[in-house]
Amino acid sequence: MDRIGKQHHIRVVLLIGALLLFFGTGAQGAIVGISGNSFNLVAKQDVIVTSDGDSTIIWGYAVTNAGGETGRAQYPGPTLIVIEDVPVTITLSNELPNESGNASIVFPGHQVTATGGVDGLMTQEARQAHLKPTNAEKQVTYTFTPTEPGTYLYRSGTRADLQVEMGLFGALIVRPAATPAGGDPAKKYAYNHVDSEYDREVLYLMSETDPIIHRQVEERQWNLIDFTKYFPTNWFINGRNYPDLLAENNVPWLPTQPYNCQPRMHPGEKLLIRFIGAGRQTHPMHFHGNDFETIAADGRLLSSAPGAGPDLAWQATTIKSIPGQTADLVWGWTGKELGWDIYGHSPEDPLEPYEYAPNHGKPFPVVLPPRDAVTYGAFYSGSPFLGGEGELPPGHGGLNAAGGYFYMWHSHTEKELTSNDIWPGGLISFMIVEHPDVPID
Amino acid sequence: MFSKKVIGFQGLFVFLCLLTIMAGQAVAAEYWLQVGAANKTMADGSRVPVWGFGLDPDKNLTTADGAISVPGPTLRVAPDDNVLIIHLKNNLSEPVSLNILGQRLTNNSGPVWTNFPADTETWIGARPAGNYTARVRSFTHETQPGQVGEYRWESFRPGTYLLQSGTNPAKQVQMGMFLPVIKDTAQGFAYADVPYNFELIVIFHEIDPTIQNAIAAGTYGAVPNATIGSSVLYEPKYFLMNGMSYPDKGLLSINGTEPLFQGERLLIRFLNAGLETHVPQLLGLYMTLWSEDGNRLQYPRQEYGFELATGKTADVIVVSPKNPPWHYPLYDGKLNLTNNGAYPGGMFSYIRSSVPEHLGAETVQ
Amino acid sequence: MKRRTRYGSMIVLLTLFGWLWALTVSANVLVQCPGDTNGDGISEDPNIVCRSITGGDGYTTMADGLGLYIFSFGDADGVPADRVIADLTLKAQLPAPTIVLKQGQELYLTMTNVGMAVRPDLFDPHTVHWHGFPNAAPIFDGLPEPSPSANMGNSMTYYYNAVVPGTYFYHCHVEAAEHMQMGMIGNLWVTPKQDGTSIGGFTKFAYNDEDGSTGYDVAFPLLLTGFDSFFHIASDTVQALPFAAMFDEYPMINGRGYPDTINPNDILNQEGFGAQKIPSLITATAGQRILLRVSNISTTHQYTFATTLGVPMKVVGRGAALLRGPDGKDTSMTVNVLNVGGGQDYDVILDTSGVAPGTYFLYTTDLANLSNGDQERGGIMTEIVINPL
Repeated sequence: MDRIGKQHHIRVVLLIGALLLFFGTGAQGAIVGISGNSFNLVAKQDVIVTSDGDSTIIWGYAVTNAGGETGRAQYPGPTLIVIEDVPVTITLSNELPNESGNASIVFPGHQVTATGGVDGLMTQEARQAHLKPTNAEKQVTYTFTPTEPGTYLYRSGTRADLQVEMGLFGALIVRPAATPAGGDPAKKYAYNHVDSEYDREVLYLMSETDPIIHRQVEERQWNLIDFTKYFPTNWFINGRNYPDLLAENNVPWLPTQPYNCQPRMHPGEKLLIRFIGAGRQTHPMHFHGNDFETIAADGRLLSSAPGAGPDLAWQATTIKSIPGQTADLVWGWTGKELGWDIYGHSPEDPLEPYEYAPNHGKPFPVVLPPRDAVTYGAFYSGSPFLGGEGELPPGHGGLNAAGGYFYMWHSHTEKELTSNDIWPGGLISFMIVEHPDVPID
Repeated sequence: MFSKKVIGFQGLFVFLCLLTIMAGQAVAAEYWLQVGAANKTMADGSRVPVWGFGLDPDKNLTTADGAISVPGPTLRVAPDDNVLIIHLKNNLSEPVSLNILGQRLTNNSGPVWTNFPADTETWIGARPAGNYTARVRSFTHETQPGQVGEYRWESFRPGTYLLQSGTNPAKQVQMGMFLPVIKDTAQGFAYADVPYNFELIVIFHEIDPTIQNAIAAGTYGAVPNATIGSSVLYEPKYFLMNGMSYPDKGLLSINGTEPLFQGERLLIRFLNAGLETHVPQLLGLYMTLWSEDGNRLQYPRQEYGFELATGKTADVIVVSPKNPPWHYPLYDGKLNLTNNGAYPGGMFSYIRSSVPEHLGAETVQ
Repeated sequence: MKRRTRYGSMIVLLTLFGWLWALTVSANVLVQCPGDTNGDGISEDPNIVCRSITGGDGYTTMADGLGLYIFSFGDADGVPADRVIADLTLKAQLPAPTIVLKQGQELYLTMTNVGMAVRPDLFDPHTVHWHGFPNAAPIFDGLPEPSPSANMGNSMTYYYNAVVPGTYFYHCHVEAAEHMQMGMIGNLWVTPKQDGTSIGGFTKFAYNDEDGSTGYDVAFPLLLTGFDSFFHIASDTVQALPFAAMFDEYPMINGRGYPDTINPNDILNQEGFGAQKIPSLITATAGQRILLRVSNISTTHQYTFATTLGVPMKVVGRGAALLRGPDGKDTSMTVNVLNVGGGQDYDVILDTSGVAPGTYFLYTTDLANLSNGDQERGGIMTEIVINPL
């Protein structure tokens, strides 16, 4: 078997460059979004790319920056990052094509005051342009003060079955106002309790599209749209299918799909997964590698009493995303009790951080088949060890130069692992647990 | 007139309370129900055949047997009642039975198996030995067409329960044979420490008119001239809360016209009588979930929405955040907001806090 | 009405000969079982469990008589390495052979890819993924992307140190949407160290609860799944596979639709082989506690179920973990109706105290799934027989 010597450390560092070219980098530990307390959004139409090579019309919330310039619509809408107890103001205008409807936003879990616009079913709405709205009707201002930190979503309240399907939704993250009692100011907490601590965070915002609906919208065949026949064939995490979600945030070739989904961490760290059902279907997401702990739902800790923290947390490897609901999960991995040394150490080698000492130096338990008896996966390093590398067959891409442990985090409704009939696609993502020496920012 | 229309829940609640009070201290809740065929008008004006329950007002099941509704009438077992008795008259042309998920039918003399698909032989009480092809037709004892059957549940436990047909449920429950059965632990208490001021019952279900028409026409199932053999390709066109779809007037204020002053507690009993999961969702307020399927949770949960699987019930408390008037949307988070393809429709309603002087001025959105 | 799926017997024979020749040339069938001194595939070390399964294809029969082509695992326990391919071609079982371990045992699971005899054009590797194994390492996790997976004619031995008790399942993860739809799924569970001690009148437990709250008298696995018959027929007849249209219309428990779920015998496929070996009839004596090990591996549907016992179901475990909070609070759930999404597993206890002897039903409340395709009164339903004391 391949055993890694002390040279692996240098090889790993040298190969990081090659690795980073392929996998998303930049703010690995945090979620990309817009921080602040005042946001100006515009509902617009644009196009996204799906991993089967197709493109489809979407409606999304675009951002107007401080200079007054409005960008393109994005799918999903911008992740808004706000602070507990700080009032939030969001203005919304409507640049959707004529007859698409008014535009609005609802914020489940928050008490919102909406001014301006026209009365709608769920809230005030920004009037359609072709109906010649007055200035007051053209724009809605939503204000609310988030009173509890946590993970939330926002989505359209106008003709919601169509507009949410078309892409008018996004994530809303409320950060705690202060370090919780007994906490460390240098650490990160999701809620006002020390047991919500995390090292890195990742967004898992689930959505789906039915290409027939989007084509009917593109052709403006409003009277043909029939949601009783709804049948999605494309599924997205943070607005992208696999494998597009492996690429970096803000890649130029996905201009309207800025967010990736590429979590990476070291053994022993805690990853906070902000899990949002933004669409209309339930997706049972299965996390290979280890159990997660569910600590909160709908922005509220799973708590037996106020102040008790997440003492009702439950663990599993699979959780359903419920449409319109959110959950917070904490995931970690150490490889403990596997029964063999995951680093391929000799007994005299030093322990790695969080290494399970009783397995230190224990030999690999089986004989692996010879190279021509197996198919090497694209993310196999050639070695079964963390940080290891081994001989790869000719033509192998060598996409795991750092010898990380890849775990597929995917929907267990496996039909959803396709993009419009093409395997693989859809709701596949990979967590990479990297050797402790591999830098992740 | 309204002989086949849905009876509003508020009126029925008051009526039944009066009945209970007049009956004095009861040891059993006893009801006379009929099940029969009717037509239901959807929010877009189309009519769909249904099979549903109706309360027989003169309790003799021989003269006019009471109006049929889908959902059926709410039955209540008083806090100090232990027994529920239903006398059921079958006005359909096939056998029926009753089943309450989570409660034990004490006088069950079923189940009933048949030699599917011919249904020419039946076996009652146990599967015939060595016979692995017979299929159950009814979970409990059957009441034949034109007959009256008796169903008793003793040691009836408190909570919110769904009573359904126990016969070929994919067919009969789908046609509308369901109703809520409710028992409090004490007057004004859903559970020992869960008091409430007002109650709202919300029943979700869907209708696939193609299947329901085939069932009514006798061309559904394992029959020679079947156009549809099973419900496996169920594709509902109508989505209903309490038998209504938006913009039916009853959904504009689904909890009626009560004032809910600040701090008062609205108990919402959710039931999913349909064939698909729904997600009751409240916009602007949180609900405290106190029970599932009539079982009080050890630790209540704060959520603004949750998954309500088929056949499931859930009791939540919503605390009025301020004095009237106010309203908040209560709808299906899966966004089933269509009436046979037309928007707006489906599972959308408001809960309201109203006072009489505001009623006329309330704008309906 | 019976329908048979067609294939030319002559073509199969010829391809079989070609196969066997090709496979013997490059075959690397190797069953690894430490402590097996006499070659019977059983380790003399009581702490080591050796199992041998095959990955390949076969046929099943649905409850309406429809024959459907499948991929799955076959049972090669005790079969010598040089007989595995010859004996187990076309012997896939649905569900796959059940794997049961005791907490603390080590599993050496050899999976030999015997190839797909009906589809000689396919070169698919197969893997084994132990769903829910905590702190897994990719080499044994069965995901083909970050690991080596066994090619046709070759074996891979997976090693698991079973330290965490609970209800799991296993399946192939190669081209998961296809291989799982085609049936490569099996039951798997680990019994807790507490078993054998007496707590609260029980000696069998779902978890190390220390108070007997997960104690049971009899246990039954309920592995829910569904087949999309069009997908299987397309696979059998070398057509393009309809992924986008995938929709399970044959919902099943342990690989059968009602009433086959209550049939104690193997269900025979069109070859006369009993591919479907696991019935779902639940039996107990009045007053006993029944443990249901429930999982859902459908690639298209979630399933909700209830019983007509009239007593609630107590969910004591989920995701192979005891339902207790981090500081020990009881988070078990008492429900009458339970929804199981794909990939979820639950431990459900039915306490039959006070239940009158008789026959009851466990069935899906997603009533559309009480179907075997276009045939009613089938699908996800089984019977619970409570016998008198």
